[in-house]
Amino acid sequence: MLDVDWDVRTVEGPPPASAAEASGRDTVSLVAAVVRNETPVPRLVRLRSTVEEPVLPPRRRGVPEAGWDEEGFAGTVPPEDRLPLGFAVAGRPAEPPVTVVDRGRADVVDADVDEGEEPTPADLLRELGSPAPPREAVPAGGDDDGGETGVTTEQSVDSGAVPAHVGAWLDAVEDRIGRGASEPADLAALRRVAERAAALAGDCPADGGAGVESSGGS
Amino acid sequence: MIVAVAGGKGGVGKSTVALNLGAAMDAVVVDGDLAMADLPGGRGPDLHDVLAGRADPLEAVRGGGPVAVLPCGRTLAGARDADVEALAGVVAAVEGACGPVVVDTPAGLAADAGLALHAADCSVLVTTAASSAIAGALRTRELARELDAGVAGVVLNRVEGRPPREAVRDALGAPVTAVPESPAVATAREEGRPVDAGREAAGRFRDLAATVRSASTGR
Repeated sequence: MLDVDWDVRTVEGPPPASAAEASGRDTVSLVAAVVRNETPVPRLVRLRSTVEEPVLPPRRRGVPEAGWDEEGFAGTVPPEDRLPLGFAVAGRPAEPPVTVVDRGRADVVDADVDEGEEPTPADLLRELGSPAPPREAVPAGGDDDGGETGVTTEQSVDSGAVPAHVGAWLDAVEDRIGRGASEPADLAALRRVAERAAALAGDCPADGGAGVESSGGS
Repeated sequence: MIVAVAGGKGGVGKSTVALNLGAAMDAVVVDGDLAMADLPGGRGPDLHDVLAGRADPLEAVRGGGPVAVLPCGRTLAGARDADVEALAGVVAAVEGACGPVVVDTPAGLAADAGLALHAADCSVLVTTAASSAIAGALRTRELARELDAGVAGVVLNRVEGRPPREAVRDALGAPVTAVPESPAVATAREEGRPVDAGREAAGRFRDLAATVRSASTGR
């Protein structure tokens, strides 16, 4: 009773430096689907992604739109109408990227189930917006006891200490390695940092470069 | 009973009213202002920890003082980690274990204000006589009604001289308690405690508590 047309646009990440890093984590696909209902009654639809990675659903103010979960979407297609849907997912989906299950007529269940229903906390977040400060507003490496955002870049240059946010990131990676929970992305990032650090250290004069004009680094 | 102390505009004295109403009702005051906590905290787990799943709601309640408080953390990182959707469950858990709860609701109409009102049985609107504050209270009243936290009472705060009590009651449609501008209230607030019971303002907060109780039994 329901038909679906779909389209996939995949954005490839950078090629992996080695086979061990070929996790596909940097590749992301946008899946567009249009569910068609040619019957004269509203129908319930369950659309599932065929990719194992969780669906990254459309969000409003950080909260998934109504009907979406990690597997896909559940909702109603109006009679003789189309329902356009779209989501993102890590990796490249096989074909077809979605399956559609017709869950039967939507008009035999209580049609005005939404009316007067208590809003859920998620509804409120969608409508009013989350009060959480944006990620960019939270200092990297800031701890829970307030204020301490670590040494500034100037101080770290003076003391030779590793900047707090760099140290915090390294500590987090060390923790993941220690728990056996490191990810391929950790290795890739560590290698990139090691290469960049080695290159910069090579360019950096031992006397601090007083009076030497920077050549712009590597 | 869960009472949300709300009022769209900042700086009208919501936290002061919440603290004093909490004392008059023998309630736990929950600092629901996740981004800009205002009630005294001290050491130990706070609402950010509870909403991030790091602490039990009852662990974070500070008893022992003149009024029990569940304070909120003051860091941006804590505000970001907090799952505000859990607020109603946390407030209900405190009510179940400790009795009445007064939630100090943040200014504005963002989801933390909405979720506090959603968690509440009724609300108390706080405003000053300034028209901007009354306009904020009107907007908050609409949200409170939508979320089934009907307005049990209005505090006309920091009044000097003859308060426009009737005008405010007509505008907001609920009984008005006028609380005079008072150095005793301000000093107590700075020290993080309710005003001394013998003061005139303390009597007004007891009136407010009675109004809230009768509104909730009347519904």
